[in-house]
Amino acid sequence: MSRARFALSTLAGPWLLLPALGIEIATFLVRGMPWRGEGMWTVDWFAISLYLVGPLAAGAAAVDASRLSRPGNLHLVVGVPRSWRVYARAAAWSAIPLMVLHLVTIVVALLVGDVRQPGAGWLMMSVAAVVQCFAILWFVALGSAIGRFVNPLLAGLAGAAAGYVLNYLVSDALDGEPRFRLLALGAATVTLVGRGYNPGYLVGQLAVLGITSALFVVVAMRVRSGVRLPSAAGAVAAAISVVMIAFAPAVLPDDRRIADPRPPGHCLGEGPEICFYYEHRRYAELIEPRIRTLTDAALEKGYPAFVPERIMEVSHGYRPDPAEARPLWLPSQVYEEGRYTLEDAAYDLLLPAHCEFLNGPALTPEGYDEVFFSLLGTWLEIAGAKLVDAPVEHRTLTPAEVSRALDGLAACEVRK
Amino acid sequence: MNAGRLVLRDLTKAYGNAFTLGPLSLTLTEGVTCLVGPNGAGKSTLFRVAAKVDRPTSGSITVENGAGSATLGYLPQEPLLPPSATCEDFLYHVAWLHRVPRRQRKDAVSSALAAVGLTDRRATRIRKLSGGMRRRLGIAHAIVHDPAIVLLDEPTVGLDPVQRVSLRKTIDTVSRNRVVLVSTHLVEDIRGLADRVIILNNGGVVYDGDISTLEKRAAPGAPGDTDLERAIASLMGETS
Amino acid sequence: MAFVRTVRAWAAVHNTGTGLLTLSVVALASLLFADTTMAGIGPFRFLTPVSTLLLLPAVAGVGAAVACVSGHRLPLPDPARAHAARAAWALAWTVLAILAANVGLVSSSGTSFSAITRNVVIYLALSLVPVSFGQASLAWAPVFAYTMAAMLFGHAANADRFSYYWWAVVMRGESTAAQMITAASLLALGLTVYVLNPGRRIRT
Repeated sequence: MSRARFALSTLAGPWLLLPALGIEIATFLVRGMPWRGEGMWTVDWFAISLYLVGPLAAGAAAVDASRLSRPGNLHLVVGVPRSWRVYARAAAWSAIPLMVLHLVTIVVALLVGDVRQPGAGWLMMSVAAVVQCFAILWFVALGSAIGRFVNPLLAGLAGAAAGYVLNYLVSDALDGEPRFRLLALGAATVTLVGRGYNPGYLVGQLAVLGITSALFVVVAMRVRSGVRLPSAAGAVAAAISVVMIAFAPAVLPDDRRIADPRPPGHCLGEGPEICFYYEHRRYAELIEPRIRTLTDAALEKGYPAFVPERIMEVSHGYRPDPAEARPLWLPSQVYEEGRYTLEDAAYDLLLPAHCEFLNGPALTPEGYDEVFFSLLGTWLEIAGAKLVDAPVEHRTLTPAEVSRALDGLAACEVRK
Repeated sequence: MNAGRLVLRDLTKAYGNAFTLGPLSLTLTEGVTCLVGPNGAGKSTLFRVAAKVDRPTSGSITVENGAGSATLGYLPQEPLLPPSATCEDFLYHVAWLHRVPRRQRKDAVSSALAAVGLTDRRATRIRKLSGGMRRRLGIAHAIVHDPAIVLLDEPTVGLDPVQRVSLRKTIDTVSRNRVVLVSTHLVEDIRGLADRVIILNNGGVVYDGDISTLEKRAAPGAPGDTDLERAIASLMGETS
Repeated sequence: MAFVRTVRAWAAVHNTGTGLLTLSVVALASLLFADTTMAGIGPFRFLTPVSTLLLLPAVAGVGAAVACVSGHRLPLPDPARAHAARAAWALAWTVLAILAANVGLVSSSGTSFSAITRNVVIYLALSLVPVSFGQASLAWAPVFAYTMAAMLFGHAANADRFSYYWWAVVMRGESTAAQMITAASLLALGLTVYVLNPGRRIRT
């Protein structure tokens, strides 16, 4: 019987590959991968599957370790030198197929998304993917350590529950200040253009995940009066792991992602020149025509103030100087629904997002809404559209009024 | 109680093209019949089919006594007993499953424990019993409902010599007024138990008779220290 | 007296101790974490914070299913009385699991008795499937897989829809009659499979 057949007939872990495949496919399909094309987002997105695969892998590994440790099998473990190798081999049969599947999934997703010039860089993306694989290994090792001391009927429950609780405690938390979290693996749900990976954070995760996984695997066992207990060395190994995980946030970087201040480089046309990030190039076909409709109409109808020399896409790490270019933030419906109307374009180009009163606690100055929606209504009108919904009364402005109002908004003032 | 009979008529059990047991036609009567054969000869298969755990491919198995069909008790080769139950609770449960009448159940349990010498262990949890005691408890579970036919598949495996002697005495006690079929690899078990010996090889019967006749079948060059060993080796096709 | 003796023997040959231990842990956790909620997991925020009392039924369901596993692997008769006994045993453990999971409501109003009960019933039905097919050590697997899937994928991405999908019902803090009926039907199906096929050729 080949080793693979033997593993499949005696272990539960390898069979996890089937549901894991289903989970990876579900992750692929859910929400339609709105930000595909972004390298960093693609890698981080597939960390979603690990929230499910992780606890399941811990449970399956616990079952396998427990079966190895019961009377009738235990002599095969404790009776050999370096008994931890028996558990390690069983754990490897769980972990390695899952790690390979996960890496292949990420590669396929990068190909499907046609990722070519990722802002985060191929090296760091690879490291982030390897961190996710180490996380799989970590869950399996954790389950294996737990299962050695629990009867087979409860081992899976104990392993999966431990994996779930730890996932909750040491992954990205929704509250609290940024700090190092061992299982912060990504799971991005918004665009990540303008961000990069913090190398120190990723390397720290690799180190802690790798070392603690190894320590979990080597937790040795002794049998006293039929009761399975950790050996002294095993208890020390487990204790060191706990200490490492608990104290890692004190010594490792707080932020997994860092700002990337590079401007967009995929530029199209002129008068105005519109620049996108290369990873968002596929949205150009949707967005550029809308903007050109507005700017052409403005030039034709004598409202040149509406038309900047350059429009630059905004990211998490970059915002153009208003004096040099008009900022353009792609709203979520572009990614999720493939929808971008003239009103969306005009709204985004006019919004003075750099102003404090739109980003902080300060109130908008008096008259701001009237000025802003008058600008918006005017631009849509000259482009042959209509402002459907405005919260205030607005009017059609003259070119001079438009110029004055836009200069005011650039300075975060309201000028009528 | 009259001992029953176990009648096998043209019994076969096939596992694809890999192995076929039979066709066998045997009638087992009161006393101990030892079933011997090399590994893979079909002994455990025969036990499972006779105990109706597996269905035969063809042929029939009839369990009977003079008053109609009789019950059957079976101890499989690798019994897994419930570790946290006491001996008494376990046997009571088995008696209940075998529909032993309520009023007779307690006595049936006591009788079974007494037959295997575990009366003083009735309240002991099974996980605290030694290997030999567990074997004896296994036999007790096979007889608690007072069956006419008892099938014991390798009951002495893994026991030390003292435990095996004790278990042979137990089987001897159990076999009074019963049909008992025991499979074993050990010649001492055969000599200590068997009223009749059946040797299986490659799914077929190569000998069916008593020990004294069997010993005369010993071939000169066959391996073994005694005539019985040499006879069994000869019939199993082994040479020195 | 004979009935008591029979029940005692039945309990002795099943994993009663393991089941009691698990439900005791559930009851204790229910008391300790009665007012605890989970806002999300990882970077995923739930639609509304989910009471821990809605998640503990997962452990209770598995514990009750484990208690339904026989401790022996012997080819013993399986008469109709054994079927009835298995059904009664499983129902008794369903009640115990419901009680254990609801203990926390003594001091909390974070969720409702019916929602917790619904979840216990659903989780027990899921756990009985592996038990019935001889894989008792995997009784936890469908429970955890389903719960995590409900947490991660159980609601629409856009916030216009403030509800979980129908299949992620275990995440909902309130229960409807239709949900209870569906849960009970699932349990009835699981119990039927378990009663008819208790997984005696079991791998543990």
